[in-house]
Amino acid sequence: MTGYIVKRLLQLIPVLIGVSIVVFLMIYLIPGDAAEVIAGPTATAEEITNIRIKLGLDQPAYVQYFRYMSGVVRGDLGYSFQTGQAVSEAIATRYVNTFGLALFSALIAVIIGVTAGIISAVKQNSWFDHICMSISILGISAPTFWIGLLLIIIFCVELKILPISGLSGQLWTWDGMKHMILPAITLGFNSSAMIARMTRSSVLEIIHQDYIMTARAKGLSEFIVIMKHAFKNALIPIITVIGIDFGSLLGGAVVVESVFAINGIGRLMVQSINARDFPMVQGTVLVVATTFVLINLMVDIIYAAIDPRISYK
Amino acid sequence: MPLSTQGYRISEAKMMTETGEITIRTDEKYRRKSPFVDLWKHLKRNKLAVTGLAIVTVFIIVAIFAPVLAPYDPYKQDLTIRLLPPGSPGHLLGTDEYGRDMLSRLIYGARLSLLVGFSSVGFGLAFGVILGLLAGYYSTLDSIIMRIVDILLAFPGVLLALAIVSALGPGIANVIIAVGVWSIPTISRVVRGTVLYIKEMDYIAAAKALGETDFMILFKEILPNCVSSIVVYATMRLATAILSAATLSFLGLGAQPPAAEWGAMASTGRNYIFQAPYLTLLPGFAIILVVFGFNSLGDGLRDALDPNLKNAL
Repeated sequence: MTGYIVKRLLQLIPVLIGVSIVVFLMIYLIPGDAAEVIAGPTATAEEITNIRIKLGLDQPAYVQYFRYMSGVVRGDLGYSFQTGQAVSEAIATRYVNTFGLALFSALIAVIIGVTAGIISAVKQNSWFDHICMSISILGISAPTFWIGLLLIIIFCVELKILPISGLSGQLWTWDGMKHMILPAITLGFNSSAMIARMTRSSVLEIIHQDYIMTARAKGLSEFIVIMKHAFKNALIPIITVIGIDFGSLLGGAVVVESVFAINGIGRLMVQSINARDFPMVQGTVLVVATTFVLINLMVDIIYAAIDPRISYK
Repeated sequence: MPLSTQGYRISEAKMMTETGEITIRTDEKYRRKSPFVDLWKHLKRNKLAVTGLAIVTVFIIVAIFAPVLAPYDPYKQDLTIRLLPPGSPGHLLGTDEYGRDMLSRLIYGARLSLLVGFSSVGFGLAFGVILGLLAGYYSTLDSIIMRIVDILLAFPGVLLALAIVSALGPGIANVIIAVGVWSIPTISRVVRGTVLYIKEMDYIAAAKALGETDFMILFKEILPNCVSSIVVYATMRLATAILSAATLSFLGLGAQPPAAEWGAMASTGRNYIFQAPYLTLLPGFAIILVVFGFNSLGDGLRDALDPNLKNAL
């Protein structure tokens, strides 16, 4: 097991270096003179030169990359063009909100998805099953931003029971939670749909097996049969979906934070893109991608620990 | 025409031989049929796939004949009839904040969404298929290409597309490139997997023994056999591409106002969420419908063309 973890950690290094190169190269994708584009149409020649020097665009690419990376490993991601604030500082203050949102929505997605999936499987072809599976198709086909707006219309505009947007205070307070419920459901909607479908199909596969019939014949209650015998064995594919989805919640957070005006990395990224604040865009993309890679690594290690059938080699 | 015992038509041909005239009867069951006939036979049994195909066909027709079908010019403003609710006389789906007809804008939106979907998937296929073929066929290139693919897959959700658009600048053309590039890694993975399987088959060894060049083997022997998995994957990818393009437009990075694009329409509709929630809801319904159409069609094609893919995709 230790060998497997070390091997996976070593495999991570080239991926992380690659990610940093892609993020660094983003500036070269800017059509024309990057410094001129970033400075905007009204900038003076002096301002353009300043930006060119600040970004190191007057140096060869490899020198710029090593300069950028030597900063990154020291936690220095540069300074915002807009506010002058250190990029790492701006990200650090927002990281908790984004990570908290992803975690909260994963939790909601698992609770809703697994419960709906089990009930749908046990009551196959019932009205509950049909409604659940129809909603799950909607969850897979609907854009995240639209789900968010729909929930705002239902719970904030019509029913007026939840705040419309904005997380002003601390995340882990009652007020913070109230602000976080709709964004978390929005972000987790797609995942809960996937989890519900996967849970339903894997439980359905198991409940038709002989040992379930044996358990019933022994006179066990239906609850014990489903939860202890069927669900436990149906868990691996469900955990796989949860694992794959948890990382991608970080990508979805970009959209959800913009819809609900949450002060997280995603919203910062979109604002910086619109303002052409390049150091901030590079910093946020780098941090989110790195977190995603690390989460996927953790998920892989957890699988290997839970499922003895997964090879460590 | 006579029928066989199983109900197949039998075609007859007369032929003169030394012993006299003989009749050759061919049971149609054993005749080689067009692959489309076979595909349709499989597909029409799957209700969901047929629904998907119908939805996709309707959207394509709407997109092509938008100027004929749209009752009004989608960009014509009339401030005297702004924010008319759906069901108003002369404006079936109401009007927006500038008095533009919503139905006409939604119809023209189908054009933009399908254009972005097809072009970006086409872009992704052009590069992804070639990279996948090379990686699958040449083991020396495999590790290099797959490491690059791993790096590109380290950006969760729309993050990679977002990063590319941030550099190229907002606009439909850039969204097509961004979503296209984002499709490359997954397409090349799917193609590589199929090539790895096909290249071990006897007929490839026979082609090699006959002295065919690698180029001929790749494009004449292997590629035609990858078509089914490419078609299945491309159909599903169209759904993702349309969703992502709408998301980028919603974030202000894709189509710019006054473009009749569903994501952009939902985004501006957000400002009128209290007075006119339909401005946000209607474009969302259009996105859901077309994405659902492509997803269901993709599922059906997968089951019909390549059941082995079920676990892979």
